[in-house]
Amino acid sequence: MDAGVQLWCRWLPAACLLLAALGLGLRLARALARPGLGEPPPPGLRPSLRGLRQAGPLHWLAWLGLHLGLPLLLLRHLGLIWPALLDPGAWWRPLLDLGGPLCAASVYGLLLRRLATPILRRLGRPADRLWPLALLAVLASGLWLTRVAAGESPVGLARPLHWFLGWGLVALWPWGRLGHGLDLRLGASWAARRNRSPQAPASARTATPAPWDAWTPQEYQAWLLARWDRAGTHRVLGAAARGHSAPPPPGPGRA
Amino acid sequence: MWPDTPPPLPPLRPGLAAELGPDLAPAAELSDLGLPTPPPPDWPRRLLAGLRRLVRQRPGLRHALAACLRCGTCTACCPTFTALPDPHNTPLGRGELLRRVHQDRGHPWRVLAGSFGNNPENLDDDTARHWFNYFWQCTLCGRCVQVCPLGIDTSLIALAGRELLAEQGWLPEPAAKALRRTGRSGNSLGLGPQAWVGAMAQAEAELNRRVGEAVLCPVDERGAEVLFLAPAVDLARQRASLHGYALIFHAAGVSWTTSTWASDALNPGAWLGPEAARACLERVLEAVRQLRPRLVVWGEDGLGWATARRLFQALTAPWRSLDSLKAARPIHLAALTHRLWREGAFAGRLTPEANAGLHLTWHDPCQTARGAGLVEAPRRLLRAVCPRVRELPEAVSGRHTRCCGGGAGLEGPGAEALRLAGVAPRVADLRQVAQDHGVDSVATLCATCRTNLRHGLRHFGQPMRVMGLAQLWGRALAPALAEGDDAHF
Repeated sequence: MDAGVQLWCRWLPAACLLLAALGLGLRLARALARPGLGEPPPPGLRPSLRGLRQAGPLHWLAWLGLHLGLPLLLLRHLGLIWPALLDPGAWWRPLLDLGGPLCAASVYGLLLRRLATPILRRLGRPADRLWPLALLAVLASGLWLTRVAAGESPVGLARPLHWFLGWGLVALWPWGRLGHGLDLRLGASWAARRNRSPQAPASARTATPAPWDAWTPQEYQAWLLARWDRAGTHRVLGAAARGHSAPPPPGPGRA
Repeated sequence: MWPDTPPPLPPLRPGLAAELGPDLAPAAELSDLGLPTPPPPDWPRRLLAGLRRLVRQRPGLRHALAACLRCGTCTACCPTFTALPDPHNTPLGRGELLRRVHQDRGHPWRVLAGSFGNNPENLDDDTARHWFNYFWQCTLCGRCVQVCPLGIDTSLIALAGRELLAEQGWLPEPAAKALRRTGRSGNSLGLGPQAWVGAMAQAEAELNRRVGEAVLCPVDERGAEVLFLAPAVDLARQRASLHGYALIFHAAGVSWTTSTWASDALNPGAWLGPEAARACLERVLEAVRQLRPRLVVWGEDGLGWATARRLFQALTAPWRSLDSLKAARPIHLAALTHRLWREGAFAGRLTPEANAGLHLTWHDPCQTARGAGLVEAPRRLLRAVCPRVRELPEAVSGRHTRCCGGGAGLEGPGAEALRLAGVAPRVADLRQVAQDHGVDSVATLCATCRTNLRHGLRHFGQPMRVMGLAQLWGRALAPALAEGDDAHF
């Protein structure tokens, strides 16, 4: 195989995939092996997609479109090594062809939302608009390449642009904020299982956090039976009696 | 008709909330807490070092700073932003305040990042003032966490900001007072042991006179089954709830006691972060070691309970070998009451007719519902003693409840405007349910919510009663209490 083709088609993708795998592996290792959360996770709080729906139709429709379209688009690229996938007569071909436009429309929608929402325009940063622009550039160059394949357009910069940007996004994905998001989910779910707070004593680190009612049914039953045995026999004095009869027993808080 | 989505975002008004915020604590209060006053001249360097330390120690904070996509989903659900539409007064905006100082600092790609507009901001007095105002405007209600697609806990950012500011000597007066009093006397009101015993004796005498039966309000009784932590504000200003607690234990035949060493369910340390919260909770553990109860029962304080639930087990671990702590478990009063009720401990003792005159709705406190998952048990308890209950719509109740606007240290006269702004969306919910269904009262499970809802409803001209769950149970257990209860509204 030609050295140039080797570089483009073997070593560049391999390096990008390696970088991506390294990033993912590192995140996984850090999320699972770190000593623990300094702040115990609030067990009642769970992330959900409810907020997306609340944020408005443009946001959740575009989110859904991107997350559906991107796998379809990547699957379509497998056709390069498995031509049966791109069989024009196959029932799945229109579905795979839908991936590109769906992705493009979704990314455009997300970018539009960022630019049109006053608070996002005010608090957002140029970097927030960079990734949709990069994705749009990949999609546009891909569209250009399909026209090249059909013989409607000269190759020009389309191929290197598409190749570099596409693989670059794959390589950078685990290292960026989406990777941090993955880390957050992994770390939180792991920490919810084990209390690994560095401030917590060693004996507590592997203990399961107490549920809200704290008891097993057996423990509760035992406590209840013991309590029924003593029912009606108060062993304590009221505050009035305590205040007027005897001084408080020695202990903390009695300066 | 109830919308299942929040109303559209109000138009932005930058700077609207920039000057609002609690008052700064005076030098004497700060000195008592061992905090520097005035802030040291090299505070920016110290603050950045502190930030690096927190980011290193707390992965949750690190992720919160790094993972945010700035999608803005959290803005619509923030109660303070709904009322004060200042862009920085959102979870996203508050996060950006910290992120812009921290992000990319020292990163090898800083030059590249800077060229995309990610230059780190410099710390100066203006930044510190912004931090102080905006971080203390967060009520830590956690609604933003629930809607964040990545599950970022934005409250960690607000807490980190508060903690860093406090280390340099910027702490609001109410928080400083509550921390100092809790550190000295075990409750946020600053009641010493004798004052606590006296106040409990007074409450007990009042209860016995009204009920016509000997119901105890014990203090410092070693060997009682339950160590109970009541919100101190219930003893001082909302006795009806305290009477309810006493009647519940009395009717169930559970021996209980309060402690003069750790007498308050409120944990002001939780307003600042886990370290301060642990310090406050240590007093409770000391009381447990002294009094040796089987159970530590938390009264109606949302944040106090959520904090105890998270930290108690880790804190008690070193003393697990001691008999006094072997069996000590923290439990919320509502959870305990629910279990006792299901076991028949109150059979034949409840008179729901005592509450028949009330048409109630239920307000879920953020910290018990969202923060601690206590949603169903209080509802069942409420329906057990109140014949007429009308729920708020699902979009604003249960785990999706709205904040009362007064949580997390927004106390004192300086923060009154903020509290009223924060409670406004909740008052609108209550007004709607009152207009549609004739509801005239609201019940809840948190003393802070009670206080702030009462204040907000009065301010916005909505005539509704605000009651505690224990208060309603007290009325059902001793109908005589209901007769004179109106005097307390």
